[in-house]
Amino acid sequence: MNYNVIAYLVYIPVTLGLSIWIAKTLHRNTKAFLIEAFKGRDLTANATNNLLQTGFYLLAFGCSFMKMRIRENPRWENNRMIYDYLHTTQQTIEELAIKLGSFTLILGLLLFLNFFIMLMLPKPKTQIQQININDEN
Amino acid sequence: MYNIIAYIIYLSLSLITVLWVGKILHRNGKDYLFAECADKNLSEASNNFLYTGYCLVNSGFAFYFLNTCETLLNFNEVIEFIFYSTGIIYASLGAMHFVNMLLAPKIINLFIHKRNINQSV
Repeated sequence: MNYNVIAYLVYIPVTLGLSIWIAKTLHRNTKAFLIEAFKGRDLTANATNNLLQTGFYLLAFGCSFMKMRIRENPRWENNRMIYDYLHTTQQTIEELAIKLGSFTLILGLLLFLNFFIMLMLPKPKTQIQQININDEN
Repeated sequence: MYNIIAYIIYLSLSLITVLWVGKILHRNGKDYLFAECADKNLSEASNNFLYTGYCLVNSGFAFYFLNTCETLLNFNEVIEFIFYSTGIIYASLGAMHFVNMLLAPKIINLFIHKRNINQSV
């Protein structure tokens, strides 16, 4: 039970809680936008909203887990990388500050990315073109 | 011994999320593709096709990524390996998901356009 595990135990709930909270607010707010964009077709608005939400969850959780590793002084010793762990409270606070700060920055960028992907989605086709072409044969 | 624990937990975490997320995407992709491409049969067929392709490719990637693990010496390294590898799997899943969401309707509409041109000629 060293300082590394304590840092992980602080980092994981904060990052996961933040990403879940932001994902839920995104879900609620893009719902209104998509219902207006798809002009009353609730089914497709719900479907695209769920797709955007799962994409956001995946990216947020992925980036959070990828940045979790803490290694001090990595060095090579006979074909194996060896590193130290954290051993003072000051170091843990510094490393946690770096990790949490960079993750919240990335989360903000993901938010903008989600929003711009929603804006870049192709426009839905009109009702006239939804004739099933295979029936003519 | 630590390696085996790490492999089991990592494989179960990543495979469960890959298949579960795949089910969610399969359910929602039906309406999304039908809204973007005007053909109902083609959008359903391409949705099923994308679902099977997604499951195959991503579970294969999750299995293959297990190869990058070196010998682990204590529980700290076990935790680090599990979280790092599942993080990479999730991030690649999310990136591919957004790319698919943007590009798949365009490719399907290209096929529909070509088929319409061929049928009218």
